Amino acid sequence: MKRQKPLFSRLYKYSRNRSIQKMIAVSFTLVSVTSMVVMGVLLYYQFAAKLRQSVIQENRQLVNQIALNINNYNARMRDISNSMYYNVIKKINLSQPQSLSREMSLIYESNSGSLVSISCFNEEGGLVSAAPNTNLKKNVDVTKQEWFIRAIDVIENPHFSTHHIQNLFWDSSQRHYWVISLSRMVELTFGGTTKLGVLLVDMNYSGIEMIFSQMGGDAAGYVYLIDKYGKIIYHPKQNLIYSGLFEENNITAADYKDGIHEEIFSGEGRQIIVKTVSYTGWKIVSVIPNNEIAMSFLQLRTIMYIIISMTIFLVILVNVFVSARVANPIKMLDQSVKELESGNLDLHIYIGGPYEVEHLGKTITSTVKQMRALMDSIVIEQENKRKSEFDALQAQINPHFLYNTLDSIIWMIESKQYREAISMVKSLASLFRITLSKGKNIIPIHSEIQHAQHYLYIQNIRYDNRFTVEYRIDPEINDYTTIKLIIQPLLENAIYHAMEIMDGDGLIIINGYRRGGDIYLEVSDNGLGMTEEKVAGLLSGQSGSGKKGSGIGLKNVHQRIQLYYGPKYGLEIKSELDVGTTVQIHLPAQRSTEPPFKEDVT
Amino acid sequence: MKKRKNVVLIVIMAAVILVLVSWLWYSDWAENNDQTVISVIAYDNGNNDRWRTMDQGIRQACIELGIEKPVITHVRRTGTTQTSNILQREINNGAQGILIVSGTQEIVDCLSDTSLNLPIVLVENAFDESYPCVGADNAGMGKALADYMADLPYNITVLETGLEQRSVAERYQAFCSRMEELNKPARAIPYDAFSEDLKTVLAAAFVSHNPRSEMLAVLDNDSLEAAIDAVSADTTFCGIGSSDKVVHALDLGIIHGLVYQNEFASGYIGTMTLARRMGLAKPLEPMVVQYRLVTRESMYLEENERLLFPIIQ
Repeated sequence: MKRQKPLFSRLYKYSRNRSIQKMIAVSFTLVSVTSMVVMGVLLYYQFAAKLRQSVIQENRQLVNQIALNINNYNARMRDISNSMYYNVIKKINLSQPQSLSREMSLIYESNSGSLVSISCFNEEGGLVSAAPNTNLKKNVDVTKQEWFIRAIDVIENPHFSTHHIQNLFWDSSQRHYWVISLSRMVELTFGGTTKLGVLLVDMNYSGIEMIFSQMGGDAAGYVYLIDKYGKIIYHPKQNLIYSGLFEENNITAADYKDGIHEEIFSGEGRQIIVKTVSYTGWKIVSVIPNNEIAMSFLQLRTIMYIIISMTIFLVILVNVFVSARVANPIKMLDQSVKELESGNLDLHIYIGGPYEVEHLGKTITSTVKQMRALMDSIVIEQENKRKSEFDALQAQINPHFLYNTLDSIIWMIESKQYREAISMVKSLASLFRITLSKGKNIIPIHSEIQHAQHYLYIQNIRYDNRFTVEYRIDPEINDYTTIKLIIQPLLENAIYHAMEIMDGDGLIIINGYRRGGDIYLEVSDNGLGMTEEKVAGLLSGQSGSGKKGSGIGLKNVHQRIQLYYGPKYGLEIKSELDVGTTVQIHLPAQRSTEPPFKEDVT
Repeated sequence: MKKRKNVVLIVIMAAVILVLVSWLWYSDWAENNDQTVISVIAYDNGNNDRWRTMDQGIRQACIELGIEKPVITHVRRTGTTQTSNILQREINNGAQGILIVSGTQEIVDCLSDTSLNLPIVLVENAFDESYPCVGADNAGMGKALADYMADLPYNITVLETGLEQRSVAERYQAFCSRMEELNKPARAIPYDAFSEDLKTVLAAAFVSHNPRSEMLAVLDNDSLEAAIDAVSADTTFCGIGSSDKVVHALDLGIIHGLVYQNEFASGYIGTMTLARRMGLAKPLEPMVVQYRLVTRESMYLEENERLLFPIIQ
């Protein structure tokens, strides 16, 4: 088991790294071939079993037919013997043997095709009568022959001998006959005296031979006949057996009961069918060698192998073709995705193949389009952001504000208002320092407030204290963050649009508080206010102030807030004519990571 | 590239299928058309009943080998050579192997001269190592007959004839040697079957001998049959043979003792040996052609009558 695990791991690892086409082709082929082989083997064995049964059944029928024929053969012999005895011998006075001879000859003639001779002997072995030949051999002692002995020993029934050479009569043709003898004890009437005798009917052995040779046909194996002791009466290879060139298991077969048996003889497996012939006790034995059964469908097996081989080839070919058809679109789609991975968004994604692959291709194409759109959108956003930042930066170094402020400083210096000049320079420096914020875009709110303070200080001096400023900043919010340069543009607008016309009674209120999870910074003025239309146009950039200032504008601030924090946040302008304007900055409450604010004295 | 691979695959598969189908068709055709032909040339005097038994053996072997029943040509042993013509005729008729029964040295010399490449097997007569020979142990038969006759109260004579057949020569040699060993040397009666009358020869041989005290040994079937016809009823035989006439004579008591060989086995083993040389059969285990000595009393015993009277199927 341990050894198998690394093998499975290797196989699993191997399979994971193979292409989908090979995976499909190999798995389909394995499944198909395995199924075919399994089915082929099962069918073959089923067929073989059926064929074996069929062969055995055929042989069984053959054996039954042979048994029937032999029974008929034996019955005919018995009929002849019975006829001879009951119709002739019993009715004749053998004091006149001529009548017996005549009757005997008649019976012989009517059965000469299957008889060799009919003869009758007295108890001492003397010939009473015979047909066709009465020339008994002088040197033959009939009483010592087996047929005679058996007839005398058991007098009730006729006795069948096995085949033997007839050793009774001289034959001028010098021929010798193989016969099967039927002998029986008979009562011979000589005048008024009854004596025992033996009636012998010698049937031609060729009758038995013909039964077997005619019935052999195309049946597998061979059939032979034995007596109840196993002595062979007929065997297709009996001459070989007698010559010692062939062996048969006939003695064992004599012990088999009727039916089908399996045996192994001379290293060969065989099916044996046995049928007993009634009356004689002879057994008909059919032998079917197992390899003969196998040979009978050898050609079919060969054809089956060929068909399976051809089918396997076809299956492999079809699997390769089908797997290619399935895998190629996937491969092409995969190639498209690889190009996509390498960064080429402008390529044409493969759309084709089976429905699922086509749908996948379309989906990927749609995704790529969305990606492109998103990326374009991001690019535009980034560009806007950069533009805003750039604008902010530009505003940070707006030459007009700088020039004017520097002019004011020069004027102060020239007017020997050194203290005011120094304050202004300090504020300007602080202003620019916070503006730059070391390049950061997100600064603490307290820094943004300080930036506004410095800006307002400078502007107040420039505007000759035309307005006052109130700071209502909740200290809680000092340590939260904001994007920089969002209050100053509001103040700039307030100064340019509201305070310029004021004569000392201008008021700018800077409010800062937290509500819920958000931060609110408000710049309110008590200027002339604006109409609703003008308010609506401010954030869209359509108002076009036309006046000089930092140049960033409300729209810029609004966009920057929304760009950074999202559309939920930004500016909200409320204005009432002749009352004033409030611009509210809405930010999320995000704490600063810098150390907590300590109030800076300017 | 892939398309080419598929085309190559299809072509290979089609070629394989074509080869398989062709092989199947050819093997089926070959099975139906390939018939092996063997030829049997029997040198005798036309004695058919002896041939029936050997023919049975040859047929049995052919059935087992699945080959066609051979053509048996009987050639009279007349002394003139017809062998080369007969052999050529058999070859022209498509013989792929030849079985020669009871051939003579002359015949074997003729085989060597013609330089045949066909497998040839000799039955009964072994002449040289070039051709395998199948047959009973001729020396054994001669010795068995000598052993039997030596115990009989007769003067033993032996017909010296047919020695051009090596089988008869071996029997004769063994018979005479054995009789010498048993201190009962046999008197030889020379006889030329082609030029002499046996009756005359035997009459002359027994003229100064009492035929009733003589027992004649005849060591081949043809001569035995001739002797049966030639001698008087007073003469007793023993011999080597197996024809119906010889067996009948045994049954009649004319032949006192008979050594006979299993002609069926000769035919069967001879054919199987030829088949092995032709590559049609696997190597055989050694097979022996049996011979037995039978008398009038023992000829009908089961073990003897089976071989003496083989069943012709």
